[in-house]
Amino acid sequence: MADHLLFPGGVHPKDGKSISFSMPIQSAPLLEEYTIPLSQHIGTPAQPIVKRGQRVLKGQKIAEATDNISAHIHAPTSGEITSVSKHPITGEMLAMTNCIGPAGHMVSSLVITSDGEDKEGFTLMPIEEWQSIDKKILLERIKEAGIVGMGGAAFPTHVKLNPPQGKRPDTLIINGAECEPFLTADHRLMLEEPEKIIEGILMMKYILGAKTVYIGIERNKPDAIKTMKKHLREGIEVRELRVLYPQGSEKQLIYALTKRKVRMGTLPMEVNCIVQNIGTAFAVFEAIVMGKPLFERITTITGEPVVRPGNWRLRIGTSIGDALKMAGGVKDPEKVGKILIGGPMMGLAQFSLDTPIMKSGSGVTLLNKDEIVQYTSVPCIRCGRCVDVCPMNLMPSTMSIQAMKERFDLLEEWHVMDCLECGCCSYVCPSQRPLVQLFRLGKSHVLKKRQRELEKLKAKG
Amino acid sequence: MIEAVLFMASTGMILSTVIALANRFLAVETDPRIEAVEEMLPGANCGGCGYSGCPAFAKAIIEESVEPGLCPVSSGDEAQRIASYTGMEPVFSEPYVALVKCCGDNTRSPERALYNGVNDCNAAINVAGATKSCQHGCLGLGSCSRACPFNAIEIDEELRIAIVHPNLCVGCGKCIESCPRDMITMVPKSAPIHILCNSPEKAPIQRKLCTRGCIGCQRCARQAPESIKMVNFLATIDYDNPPHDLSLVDTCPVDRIHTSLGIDYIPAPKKKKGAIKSLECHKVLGVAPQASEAEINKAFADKIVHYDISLIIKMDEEEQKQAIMESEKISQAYKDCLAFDPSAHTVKEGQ
Amino acid sequence: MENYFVLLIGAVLVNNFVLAKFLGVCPFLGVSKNVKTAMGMSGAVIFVMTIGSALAAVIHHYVLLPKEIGGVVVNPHVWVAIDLTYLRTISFILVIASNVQLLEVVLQRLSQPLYQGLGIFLPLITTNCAVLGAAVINAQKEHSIIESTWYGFASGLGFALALILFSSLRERLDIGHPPKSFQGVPIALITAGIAAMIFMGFSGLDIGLKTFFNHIKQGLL
Repeated sequence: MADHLLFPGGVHPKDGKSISFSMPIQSAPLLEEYTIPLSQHIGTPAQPIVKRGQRVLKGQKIAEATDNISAHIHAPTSGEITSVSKHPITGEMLAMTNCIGPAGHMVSSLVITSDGEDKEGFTLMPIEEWQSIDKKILLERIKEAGIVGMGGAAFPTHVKLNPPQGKRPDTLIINGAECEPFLTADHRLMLEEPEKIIEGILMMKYILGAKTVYIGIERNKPDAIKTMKKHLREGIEVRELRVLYPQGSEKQLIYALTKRKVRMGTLPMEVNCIVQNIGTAFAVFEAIVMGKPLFERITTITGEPVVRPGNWRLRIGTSIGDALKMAGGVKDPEKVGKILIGGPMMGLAQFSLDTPIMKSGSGVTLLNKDEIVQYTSVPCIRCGRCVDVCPMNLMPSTMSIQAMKERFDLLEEWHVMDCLECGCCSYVCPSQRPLVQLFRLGKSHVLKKRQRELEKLKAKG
Repeated sequence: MIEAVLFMASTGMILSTVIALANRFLAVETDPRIEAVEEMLPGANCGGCGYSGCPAFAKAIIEESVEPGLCPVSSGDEAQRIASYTGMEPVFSEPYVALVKCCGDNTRSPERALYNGVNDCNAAINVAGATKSCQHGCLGLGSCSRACPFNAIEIDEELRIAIVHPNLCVGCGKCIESCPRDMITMVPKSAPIHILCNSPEKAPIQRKLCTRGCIGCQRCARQAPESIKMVNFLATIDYDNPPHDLSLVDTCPVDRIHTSLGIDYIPAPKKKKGAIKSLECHKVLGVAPQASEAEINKAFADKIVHYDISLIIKMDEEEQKQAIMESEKISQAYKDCLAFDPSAHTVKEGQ
Repeated sequence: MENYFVLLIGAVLVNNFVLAKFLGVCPFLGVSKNVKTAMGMSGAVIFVMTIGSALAAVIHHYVLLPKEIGGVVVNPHVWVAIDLTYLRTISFILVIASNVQLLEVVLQRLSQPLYQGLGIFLPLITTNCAVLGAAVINAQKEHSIIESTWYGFASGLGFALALILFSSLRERLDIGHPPKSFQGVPIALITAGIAAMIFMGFSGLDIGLKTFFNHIKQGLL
């Protein structure tokens, strides 16, 4: 008997969490080098404010937000900036280099070679009595600490907690669902630091001026539910959620906990709700009460091929290879089929072990060759399984046929822009069609078309 | 009889009056020249002129006095006809064709991971940046080929690379939008030399990515400085002043300056590993490089019999000289063939 | 009243002009590539069929029908004493043609994109045998003028129904995967044949309705 609604659709993929959920969070050893990409968040990339060869301290700001929707980046350890490259046009020597980002493209990044001392250089003053401080100052602090959404989307938190004029969100929902298979970082965080999380939640509630706070936790984490319930405070409620993927997705969470439906194409703000991840709440606590900027996060390193899977507190800029070494390496390199940043449903496949783990990297999942399927897709048989499981009530079968015929105008009419890319449809398709990839293709075409139309309008004046 | 005629005549007159009145008050003025110009256009609706189709282009020609030569599909004569019909001066623009600036196929730029998904370049680019080692190279999955309304782009399935056939290409530009790596450019059809590389990486990195990528050694740029410019570490041809000196091809150490757009791209012939390269002497004697000694002897004997001294005496001066030279050549070839060491000329992997 | 209802059902469903009588197949196949042009074409055809049938019926009743001379019962509506029914076809065509021409002028003024979209098929409504067919059937069945107008309108509706349904089917076929040799017109023709078979399911409905209404009138029900 659950006390919440079930959203339409959803699937039950293999959980895989038993590999790592019982491993307590370990601190990562100090590495020799950290490669920090400049774009770890949604929005414009940050601009570096350090010079090549400059010595920096742990927690020192090394890149600044350039825009409204952008975030600062801080050094994960003390050391020297050793990245260098030449500007293609001016020939100037810049403190930047290129590294492979999680999406496979080369991204600009800074490289810090650590000096082994790990000296702290926090410039933000701890604020103990935050209840009496003006909300604007707390927001400013969150911005200064470079906090972004830790659930994987990495949207700058100071923008999310600062709704535009006229919008008064009355409900704050904290996402403790962690519906993605294999990942257990949030689970361990809830078990080990419940007081700090609750305090962080209260800070966010204060900043938003929200009346109710729900923490949604899936039923497969009974110990986390018990622990959080023990440390509850005024105005916060813990709600058990049924295990269903993608329960942790924003729109699905809001519907399940508040019955409010977020209309297609609009944001949760429209129904007066704000959703934040549990890791973000923890980061907010650390930023305000301890003055610590965001340069490390809890990451699950898991999968059958890993020797010692578990959860680590990794600093941003740790490469996948280094992270795997911490986990004892791989049992049999010949057998490894896939390396993912994130989980198997929504994670990104990697081809290089040099890719750095960023603020959005919630996990590193390895899969064996016999756990993955090399598929050849056949035509759609109109079985309708994908329509049954789509959490956004779309029709992936027809949309995939339209995408294969490159009818992106029809795709736009059939609401491809509302697709969450959760992967439920690809998961159940018996014809093994690459549905999510087709929709990503459709979305990129639609965005390009809209961009061209915008430019045409601008040119007209 | 008369009633029929009267009836039809009267009905006809009434109805035509109604239509005439309607035409007078409701008709929309359309310039008949627009239709005439539309007839003269090829009607391919490819959008190469920059307008949404042939009717829109015809409208623009009449109303905005746009150049009829903008249409890449119509020939010079057709553009001339339109120009003389509208009373404009015809401007002959140079025919342009598309060029895929990459020769790094599977054999030269190996794949760094297994890709399993939609066979489309735009789709593959979103998955770990696609599988080619070189970040700027052609993926060869066919987006440009499908976008071409004239079927002028061929995708070699095995080598995974796109090749534009210049005799089929009309220069409409549809392929340029479809390439996710922006490596298709329009080049004048008459330019004979092209640099088929799009990667601005430095030499040590470039050599790892592709065996025929431009390493930025600048030899070609130094020989033809007004035609070839260096952008980062990539030599780029300035097509406003394209080079015509075919000896530039020899300056390139990685041999990816190709001589002519008219010759369809020929990938390096795949020599089987372990094949033995033949030399000039084998060609003269007409034997295979791995021939045995007995075979070489036989071939020599067969050939030299034509230059026997008894035959040479019978020839006149000029012919004698020729025959002696030939026989000497054959003798030398025979000696070389016997001295040939197969292991020194075996093809190793990757050539 | 029931008579008009039965006429409607008869023209739209039971004896659909396109799918049962096979009249007007040219625009049925030519304008059914997408639903929007199909709807525009349907509107044009309904207009032409209604007005065309009305005018044709007027001419038929007042001009063409014979009148008995010499003391026998004279039809007060007829004022021409000669049997001109042989002029039926040509005068109907004249009326329909000028109707279509008028429609063209009006349409070009009202909606240029629709005019462009219909293209050559707009003047081809003149030769559309459905329009002439409706007028001639009215004459054969000796409908009154109001009945003729209503029948013309109903057959226009039937044409519109068939055309819009078929164009939606064709839009779906467009993104489907028929075998290479069937792509385009062949699969469309096969679908049209199947659609005709579907409409056969309505046969007998108008007779049934007529009987039903008769029984009500006679008090049997």
